[in-house]
Amino acid sequence: MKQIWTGLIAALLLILPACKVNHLADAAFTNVAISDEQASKRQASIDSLVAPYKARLDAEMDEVIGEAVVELRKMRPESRLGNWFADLLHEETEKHLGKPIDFAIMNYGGIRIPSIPSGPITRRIIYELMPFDNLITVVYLDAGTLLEFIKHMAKGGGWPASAQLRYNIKDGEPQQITIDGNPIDPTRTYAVSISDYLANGGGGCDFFAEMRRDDLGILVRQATIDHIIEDTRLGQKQNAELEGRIRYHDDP
Amino acid sequence: MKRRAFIKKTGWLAAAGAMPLSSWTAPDTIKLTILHTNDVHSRIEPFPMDGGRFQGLGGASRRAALIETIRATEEHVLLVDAGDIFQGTPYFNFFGGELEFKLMSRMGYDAATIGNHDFDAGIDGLAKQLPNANFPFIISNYDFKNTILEGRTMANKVVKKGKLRIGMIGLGIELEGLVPKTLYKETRYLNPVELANHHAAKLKQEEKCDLVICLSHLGYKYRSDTISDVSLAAQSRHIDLIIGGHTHTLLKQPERVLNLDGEPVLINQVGWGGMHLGCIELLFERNRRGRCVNCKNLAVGA
Repeated sequence: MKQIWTGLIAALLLILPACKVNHLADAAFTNVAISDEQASKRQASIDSLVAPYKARLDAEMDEVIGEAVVELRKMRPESRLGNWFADLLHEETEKHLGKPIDFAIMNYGGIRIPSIPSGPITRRIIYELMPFDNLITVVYLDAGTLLEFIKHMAKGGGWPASAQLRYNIKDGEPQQITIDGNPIDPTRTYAVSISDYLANGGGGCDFFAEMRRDDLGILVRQATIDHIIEDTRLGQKQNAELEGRIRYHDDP
Repeated sequence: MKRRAFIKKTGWLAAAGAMPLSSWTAPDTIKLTILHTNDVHSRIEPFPMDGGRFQGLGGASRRAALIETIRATEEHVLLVDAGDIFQGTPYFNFFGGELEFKLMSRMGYDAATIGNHDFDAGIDGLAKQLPNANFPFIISNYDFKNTILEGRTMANKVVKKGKLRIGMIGLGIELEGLVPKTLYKETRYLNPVELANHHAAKLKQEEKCDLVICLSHLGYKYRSDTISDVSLAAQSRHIDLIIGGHTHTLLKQPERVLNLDGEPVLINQVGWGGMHLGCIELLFERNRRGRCVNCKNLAVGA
């Protein structure tokens, strides 16, 4: 098949300069594929330009820091990767803040790989998961702002949330919201761990602007790496379950 | 109008295989091959062989080889990028985009525009890497007055390929709410439709360009009324081709939208991570109106 195409391309390339323009666009070659063979050739001058950078990087990036029991995949409204990451952020935030918070949120778009494969986890995977230099930030939200935040996440199809937050999404709106099993208390202030990106209004979160906040000054990525290394030291592997934290209304 | 009748009759690219080759005879033509990338996101090596969906795909070395293969047979090649060159692999975290720009320079990129993630090391981080790029950054709707990038980008540019004059403009996305202000600082986002039409008119009418290309990081299409390549095209004049980015949209072939004058605008975008190379071949006849002859998005690797 490849040869037929190549032959056809060659024939057409020869004919091309000699064809009548008015008729040209309905010619037979709109979907010509460059063969795999050609596309998989490498360019030596590019490889030699990359080589010294790659060597410096690989030494650090290829280090295995932990292990995933199952593939942690990113999905909406809830996923293993999202649950794993948000729970990790919740734990790390409480550790560094030195007091409990209500829950932690990762923005869906901030997770930059589709999954962490099962098996060894390298430092590289965590860099690709969270390439941004986002810092952990705790925002203190009144009930109204908290609801606005949850509505924003529901509209986005559900963002990764730590286990304390649960809700259903119907027609893009959150329903049956609970935090640690309780409905939102209109008199309370809620401590929520997010990234400074969101706290600064990124991801469409302009409602955080007036909120009191604690900037922990710790990179989300570094906290993630440290957490995995510590787990590994304790003989623990990375895992997460799907537990219906966030569900679409029609899901069983 | 002859050209529109032609398009209507043939459905531009849609009809494949209908034309008997024997009906072609000799005219005076020039062929332009436009190659493009978008949202490469520091993907210098192919995606790792880790069982992931994209494993083994892309990679700068193979992209360079593919481009060289095409350059070997095509006389007039234009190579451009639609932004988000930075961010996504540790190469960016460690080296700040230095290698990305060096590689694009080596591959012979003619121009690029600026994506939101190109501000991820701050406007200062982007400015610091500019000396590693031997190609210009074209951006028509960011006002960099009072920033370190003032005077270091172009609002439009004419590139000559043989006898062809190709005009280029560049459009960036609204930064507020997307990029922390601490990173983009005093950069002002200006109305992309107004600026695009202004510069495109200038390129077509004053600069007598045969073709006007818009490098856009606005995004392909949205359900909301946010400006996108598709809505821009409909509100535009004098733009022939939009090379898009931001939404990581992989089109099988360019989309066609009619502009304010009822003229077709082609929109193309090739996913992300350097997994594909956009390839648009235009044939110009003596009266110098572009025709999309052979538009295809090539896979890089496996």
